[in-house]
Amino acid sequence: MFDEPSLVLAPTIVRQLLHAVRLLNQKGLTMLLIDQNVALSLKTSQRAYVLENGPSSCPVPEKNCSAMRASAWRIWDFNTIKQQDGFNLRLRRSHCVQQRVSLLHSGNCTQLHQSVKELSAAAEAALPYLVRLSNGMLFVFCNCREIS
Amino acid sequence: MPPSSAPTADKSSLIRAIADIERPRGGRIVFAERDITGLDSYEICNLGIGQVAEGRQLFPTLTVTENLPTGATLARARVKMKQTMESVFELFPRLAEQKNNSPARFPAAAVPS
Repeated sequence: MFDEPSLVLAPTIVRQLLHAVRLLNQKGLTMLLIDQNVALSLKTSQRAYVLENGPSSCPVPEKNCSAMRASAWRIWDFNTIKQQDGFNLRLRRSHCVQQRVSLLHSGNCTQLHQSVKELSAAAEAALPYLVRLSNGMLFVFCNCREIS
Repeated sequence: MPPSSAPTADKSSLIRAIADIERPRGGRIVFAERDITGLDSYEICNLGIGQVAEGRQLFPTLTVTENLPTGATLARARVKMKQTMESVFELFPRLAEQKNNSPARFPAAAVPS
């Protein structure tokens, strides 16, 4: 599991890193990645999940914030991401499965038990990329492998 | 909660929940058809589920060859530490060039402390 491995790294280093990730994955290692590099992430993965956040800024007091955000969290399941598809979010949106998830508050475990369940149910084991864009989208790109 | 902190917390929480650093409020975590919800962190680690923390969390004053063994504290990892280290250097040739340097001194990558 990688938590934003490309953070603050030079682009060439990031490419090497994801190359290594791909090699390890091909050897049978299942991986879960959170990253912000959408293009490279998509190239690396065969399955993508998107957790969509609502407004990235919260205009209401903190105690009301979780409820507001809860309604805005969804899991998008891009079942078959093909490398040559490129990345067209609007297009993908119309094809993906949308599911509302309950959100506990950030700092507690929030929607992730749900997303983990989703991941498990969908893929037994998965190699996702979680990518957050500045527009408030969170992506989980997964590369699924059967566990023997 | 500052808005900018929210996304990071949520994303990292996914990993932290799987690693049992945070407890899920509900639901199950299933790995290889086994319910691992509520297992201790070391048990989850022993299943082969490891993690690279955000910001890498390296020891800036230790060299590469001193940093790497910190990821091999489990008994089953320790016994093959030498081979693992070799395979790491094979995988990252540039890292091998820097093996006696500390992460803070890497020329090509800015590594946050």
